[in-house]
Amino acid sequence: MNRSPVLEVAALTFEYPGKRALTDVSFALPHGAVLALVGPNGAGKTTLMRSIAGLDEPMSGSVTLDGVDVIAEPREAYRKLGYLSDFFGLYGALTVRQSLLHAAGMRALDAAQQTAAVALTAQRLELTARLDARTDTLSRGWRQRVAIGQAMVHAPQVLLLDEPAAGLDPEARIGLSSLFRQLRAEGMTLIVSSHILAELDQYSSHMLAIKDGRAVEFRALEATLETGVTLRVVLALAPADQAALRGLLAAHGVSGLHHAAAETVQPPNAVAAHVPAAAPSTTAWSVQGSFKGSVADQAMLLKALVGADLGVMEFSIVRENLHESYLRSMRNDVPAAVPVALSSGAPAGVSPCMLP
Amino acid sequence: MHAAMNGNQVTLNPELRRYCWLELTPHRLIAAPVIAGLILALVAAVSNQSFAALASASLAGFAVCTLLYGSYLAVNAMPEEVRERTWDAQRMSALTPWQLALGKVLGAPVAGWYAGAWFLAVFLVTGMRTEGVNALLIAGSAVSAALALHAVAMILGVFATRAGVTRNPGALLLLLIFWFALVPLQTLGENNAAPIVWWGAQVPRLWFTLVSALLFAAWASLGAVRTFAGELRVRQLPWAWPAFSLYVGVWAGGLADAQAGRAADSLQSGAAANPAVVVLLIFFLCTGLGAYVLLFAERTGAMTLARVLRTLRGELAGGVARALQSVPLWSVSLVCAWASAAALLVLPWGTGLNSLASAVLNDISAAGKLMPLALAAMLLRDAGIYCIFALTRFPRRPAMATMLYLVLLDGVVPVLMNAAGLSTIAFLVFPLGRASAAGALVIFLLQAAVAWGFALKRWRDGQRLDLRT
Repeated sequence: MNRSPVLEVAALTFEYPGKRALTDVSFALPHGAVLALVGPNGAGKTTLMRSIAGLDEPMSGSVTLDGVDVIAEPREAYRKLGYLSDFFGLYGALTVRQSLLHAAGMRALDAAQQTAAVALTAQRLELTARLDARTDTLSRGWRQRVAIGQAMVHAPQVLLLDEPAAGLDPEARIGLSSLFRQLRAEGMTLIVSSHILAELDQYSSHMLAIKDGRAVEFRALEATLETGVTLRVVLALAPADQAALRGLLAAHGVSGLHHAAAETVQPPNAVAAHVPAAAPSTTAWSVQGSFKGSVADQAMLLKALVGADLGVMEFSIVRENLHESYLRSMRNDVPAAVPVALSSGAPAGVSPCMLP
Repeated sequence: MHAAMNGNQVTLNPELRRYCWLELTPHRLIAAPVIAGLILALVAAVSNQSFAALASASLAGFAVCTLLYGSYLAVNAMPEEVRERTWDAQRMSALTPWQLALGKVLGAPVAGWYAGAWFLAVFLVTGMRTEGVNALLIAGSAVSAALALHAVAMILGVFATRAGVTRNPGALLLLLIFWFALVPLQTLGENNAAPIVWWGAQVPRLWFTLVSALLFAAWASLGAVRTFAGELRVRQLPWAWPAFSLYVGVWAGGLADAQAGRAADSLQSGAAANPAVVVLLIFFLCTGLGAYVLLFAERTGAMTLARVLRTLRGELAGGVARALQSVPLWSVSLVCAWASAAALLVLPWGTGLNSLASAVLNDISAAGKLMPLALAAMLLRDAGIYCIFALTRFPRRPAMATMLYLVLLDGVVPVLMNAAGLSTIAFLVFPLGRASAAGALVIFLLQAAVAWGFALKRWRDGQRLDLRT
């Protein structure tokens, strides 16, 4: 993935009479990212999308798409930008082929490019067999595909999709998720607004949570060791010298330690397989912190912890799913510890790390 | 038309191509020439195969197909786009405003053009026999007038959608555009061989009509392009409308000058009108009426004013140029009307025009010359009334509310007051026709101050609410 930002939104503020719909929203997306735009109804998601699309002019702030100022030069930006509105329309008397050709023509592709783009788009969306059908004869799901095809027929660098899965049957939704992953793999950047978080979680790399017009959280969902992860360590007993433990962790690059507490935990299933079923719960002590480093660094840290004889019960990378991130953002919480109730297996959001 | 060769393939303007797909159905392609042929065969049979009758009938057929049906299609095009939710995708087009506007202006009425083309072909054949080469000039004028009409219809369609009208823009719009677009054809007369007098010069009538129609078509197309540029959020300075108003002043002024000269001759007062005053008077009328139309057609809201003021105060980037790009066009038209009214006050009108104006206004003294300013003050008041409804936090149909109150203020209340014997109150509510121009000016200015004061108060209240939100 090219890490340079393809889309930069800076201090975007949008006002309606008597209401500020967006306040100082800023974020940047790299090539090939998929941003899950989440928030409650009326939070400002559609306004943000329409502002990024240059359809509504914000009061202040800027939107830069691959170096082009979308607000000042919308025509130039539209060669690189696609948008599917939540309430889209199609020309019912046109065939699917004509609809896609028209969309390609409107994006300034020449005749030869239009033909090739229509064929490729139809193939991707499994529309090839329906190219000569009138759009007003199609079901809701197929019409949705045609609309998505119109938005992406010119192979935009950034594709904005407002509730793209609305009205689709489960099979079509799975197909849509697959398409988004494929587009992402090809380097296209997507911004998807949806209330169906489980689906967003399947293909999103970033999350922007909006509440009352403010970006309450923007984060990469797919943290890597290089970009930094949240590390969780569970010890059998509270260390006698907590300062020494903190020093040990800090020496290995763990920062932002928080939520160190004594908790009652059940042994995890992986362990339970080797202990009697009636093994009593025990008092454990957990700590979380940010960790940046390679796998080798991670192994060195684990070795040090084990060497300190602290009774390491768990050493894992915490990964919140989108649903958890969203709920936490809406509560305005800081990134928090994952519940430690391990009795029924690894908790949601915790990806146990393989011991080196 | 945007058409470019790429290898062996022609890239047609995509909007024009879409309209061709949608409008030129196989049924229409076959039915149009058949129906045209039947109508003209009937005319030929009734007129004993008269070429003159066939020429007239085919020209009338062309007018019905293009001026009437084509304009109906054009005025409905934009409301249909909004109604069918396809407009957002169009707005995200990479086409320039020129490409988009021309695709729409030529494309939306393409069915009318197709049917009209059959009649035009018959007119050219029969007209050449009866009118000679003049048939080409008449055909060119008719085609240009249709183009102008379609462009204006398209503009009005956009205005209708801005006002929230997405179904049946209405016969009123068609009447308006008919009046407007037929302006260049009004110079056609019974005797087309007689020259037309324009600013004292004798110009061949048919050539004058053709050039006028072409220029009106060009102006209307420019208007359509700039209207779509606004929809596409392409920033532009508001020069075109004042420039067009000035063009109308020069064009119509040339014709009116001859009228004023004849009036002067008949009144034996000698000198003709001051040409600058003639142009300014028409400019004043054009910008004044235009301000009313634009006032009801543009989306003017609290955020429009906030954006302009914040830009002028330096809180937003862009300076004066950016502020000018953001101001509503009706305010530009209003300023032009005021400027021309002020200039008319100081310029000498010329005895010829004085005589004509005295006959009409019965007062062309220095006070009488205040009448344009009084009308400009009335316009300022009405803009203030509109802003009372438009600059609120939750505007609800400000155009309709304004029209209702204007009817009450300028019509119902004065009549009732007069009927009740309260003529002084009637005079204070609507002074036109009841007071001198100076008196009307003072009363309208006072009313404008009240209206604008109220409008600004409502706007500030909304802004304060915004800070608390």
